[in-house]
Amino acid sequence: MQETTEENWAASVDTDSSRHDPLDRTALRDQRNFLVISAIGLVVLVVAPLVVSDFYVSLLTEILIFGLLVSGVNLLLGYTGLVSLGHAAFMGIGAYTTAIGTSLLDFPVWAMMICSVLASFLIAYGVGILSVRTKGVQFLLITLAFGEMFHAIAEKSRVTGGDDGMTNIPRIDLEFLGLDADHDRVFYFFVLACFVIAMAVLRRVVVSPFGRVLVGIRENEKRMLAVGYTAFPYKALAFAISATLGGLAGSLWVQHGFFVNPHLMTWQMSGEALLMVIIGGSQAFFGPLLGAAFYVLTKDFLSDLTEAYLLFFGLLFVLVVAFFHGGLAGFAATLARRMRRGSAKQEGDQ
Amino acid sequence: MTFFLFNLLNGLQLSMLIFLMAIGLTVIFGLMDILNLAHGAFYMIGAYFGYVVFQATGSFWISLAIAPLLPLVLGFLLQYFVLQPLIDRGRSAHLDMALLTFGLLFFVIGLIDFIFFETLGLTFMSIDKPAGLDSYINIGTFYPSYRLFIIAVGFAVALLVWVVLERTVIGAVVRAGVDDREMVRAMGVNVYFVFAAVFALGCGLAGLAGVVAGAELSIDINMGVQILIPTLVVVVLGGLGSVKGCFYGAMIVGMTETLSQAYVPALALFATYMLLAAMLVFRPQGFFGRAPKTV
Amino acid sequence: MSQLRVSNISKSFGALRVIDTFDLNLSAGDRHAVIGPNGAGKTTLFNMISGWIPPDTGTIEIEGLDVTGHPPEKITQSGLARSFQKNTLFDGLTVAESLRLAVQAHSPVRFNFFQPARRFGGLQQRAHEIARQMELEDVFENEVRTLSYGQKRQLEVGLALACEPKILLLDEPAAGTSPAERATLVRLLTTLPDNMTLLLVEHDMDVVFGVCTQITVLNYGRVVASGTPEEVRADPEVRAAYLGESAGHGEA
Ligand SMILES: Nc1ncnc2c1ncn2[C@@H]1O[C@H](COP(=O)(O)OP(=O)(O)O)[C@@H](O)[C@H]1O
Ligand SMILES: [Mg+2]
Repeated sequence: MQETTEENWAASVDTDSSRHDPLDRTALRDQRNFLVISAIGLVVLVVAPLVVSDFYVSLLTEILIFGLLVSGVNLLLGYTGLVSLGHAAFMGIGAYTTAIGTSLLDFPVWAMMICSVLASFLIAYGVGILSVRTKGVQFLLITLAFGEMFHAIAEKSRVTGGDDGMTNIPRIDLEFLGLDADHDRVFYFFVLACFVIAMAVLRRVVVSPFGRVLVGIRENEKRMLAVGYTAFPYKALAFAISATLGGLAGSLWVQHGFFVNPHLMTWQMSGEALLMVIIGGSQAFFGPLLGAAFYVLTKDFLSDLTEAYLLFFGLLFVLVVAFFHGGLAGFAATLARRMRRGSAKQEGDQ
Repeated sequence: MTFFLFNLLNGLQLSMLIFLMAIGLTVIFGLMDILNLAHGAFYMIGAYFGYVVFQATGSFWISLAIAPLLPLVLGFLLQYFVLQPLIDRGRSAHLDMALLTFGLLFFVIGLIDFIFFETLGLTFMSIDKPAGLDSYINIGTFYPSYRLFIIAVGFAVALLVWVVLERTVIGAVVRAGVDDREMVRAMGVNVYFVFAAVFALGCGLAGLAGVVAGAELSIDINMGVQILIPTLVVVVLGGLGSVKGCFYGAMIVGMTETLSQAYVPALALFATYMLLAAMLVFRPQGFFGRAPKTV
Repeated sequence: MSQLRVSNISKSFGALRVIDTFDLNLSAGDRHAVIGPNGAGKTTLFNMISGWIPPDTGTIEIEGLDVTGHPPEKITQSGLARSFQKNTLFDGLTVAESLRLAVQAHSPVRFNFFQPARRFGGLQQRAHEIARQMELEDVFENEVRTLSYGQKRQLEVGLALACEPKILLLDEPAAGTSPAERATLVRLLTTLPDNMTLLLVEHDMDVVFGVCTQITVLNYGRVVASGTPEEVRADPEVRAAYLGESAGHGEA
């Protein structure tokens, strides 16, 4: 008698759990989409430099470097809901760390790349601890002020050439692979490798429990506190991770152009990073990369016509903020959905 | 001693210029919850239009009287026909408005660059100081009379703003609105008109600052951004939405920038930011801002 | 041992004394309601207990531990969870994601930043259990902003429950819900674990009398009466100040 009850109980639990599948289908679907898009994107990024002219290889390199920076910005903007207007400073910190270490102190480039990443992480963590105490507009203003402070340091510092900056920065030494990074195509693939690794790491962060907390903070920080999260360390760490991507981007940027100057750290640069994120789409993982591509290519196209490209980007920015919150990525997703529905309908008709 | 006096006046002059900018920004924020990053653009529009009027008429005074009207009107149109409808359509006011006006700043910079530099080939321009204000006055040290004029304008505007806010009906509405936005909405005044009027006046003051600055500093493409940064620092220091904080904040920033430049040049660029960081640690809501309401 | 002890707390906003020397002592498993007209200070009382605003005077203890002045997240971590009178939800997330976040807050994986969250099936399972309890199973994968008002109220309670609190504070959970939803709520609240302490603010007397064994009546920040439902119902002062009206309507 006793036994049968227990059996029944076990059976009921069993059916229960199969009926209420603990699988998180949304996350699985998202992961599948991510893998498909990454695979397609990777093929494009590997093939493209082999078929385009040298000039476009250089532009592609720029797209990847900005893609790193703005994917970092988006960890704050799109995932955590914090708008930073000082992120160019961390790109600058990465850039100057590499530049100083290689050209003034003669350290190898690979070592300085690691230092750049660490330096931007640590400094950003410090800045983050101070700034994430605020939010919304205050946060925007505080990050702006910190960004300007680092910009001012770069302008004033005499060892780094002040306003003129530093030139003749070496690129990474790839001789152990029998390659010469001074060739733009080789360097492109090196940047692509860094990009893929960094984006894989970022992806892990975004889909982790930590990443979900960031989204919760974006949606409703008050409720996050109410269910027992201490939001502060999450935000500070998000700030640091996001700036670290900028630091890596900066380190690659000096190698790409062989030089660095304080202009890299202006708040215009931070603003343009926001522009890329918003135009590309802040709600999608690869949205910022799309934005970077759009920005670099359009700017190149426009600068043949006029130097006043800000006229165009400013207007576009306004329109996207006002009317198309999803940006390019959101637009593409809507289009894909509509096409899928369209083709499904056609099949149904037949 | 005279060196000190000289720098003190320079600091006061800078404070007043920043104050003209910051007062509009902070009242607009307090009343409408819009951080108008395009404020720097209205400053530029004032300066460039001032230059155009000056070229056409040859008179500083006409330019001073007419040029601020353009940013004033543009500000009204922007708030009444663009920003407010977007807010009403459910755009979360706060950050979207900051981003949108930020894009607008870029747009205006690009537009001015296109018109004045690419089309007309002008880079650094200035408005001539008017007769009587173009020399030096002996006040123990020889001091440019135009800078004294800037100080006077600043104080006059501060006084005027104070009188309007404290002594007039529209001032009462605005003060009530800064304290409690919902209340103004409930009061049944034509809120949107008041909003747009205040927005316009703020932009007009920014334009005024632009014209005034155009005769002392140079008119160039970076001027809007250059003034916007210390303005934002002032607004944060004083507490977003606080008029009193704005005045003291402008004093603190103007003086800190000028005096550090004169006495500890190595620190000049950081002094303000260090101040800002210190305040953040101890009083994130600003010196005169209230702690944010919870629940 | 008392699980929640509120001693002598007061709060004024300007000249307005919203809570005046309030005392409350709850043991594990108590079912206690605070009732009173709008503006009586009930939400302010909750805000003080849950750490959102500091009391002017007095102390708050959870299981003998003084938590006065602790921030809200620390209080929740000490085992007290609350719902809000005004919906405070993750509008852009799904019900599943919302509940999972609340569950995750009390799991050691909350600091994990390098493993996909979907691997932690336990979170999802627990979230699903709560959704079932709250009758939100059908809308489990739906965005919160698409829910009906009643469903949002249920999620509001579910988020507090997901914290697995020892003490549960609910601020007008039935406000704006349908009679069917209210019945569900009563069923849920009567089946809470025996050792969970409930402090409820509610205007709907069916819910209050259906769930609670102790009632405190608040008016203008002062305790007007307290005791069992029968005692409170019989209290003439309460009838005059509060119940009198609704009882009159009921009889009419
Ligand atoms: N943050 C606040 N500032 C000023 N007054 C407040 C604040 N919060 C509540 N009050 C006032 O306190 C009184 C009690 O409010 P509340 O606690 O919300 O009452 P209840 O929840 O019982 O309806 C009301 O008169 C309300 O206007
Ligand atoms: Mg209430």
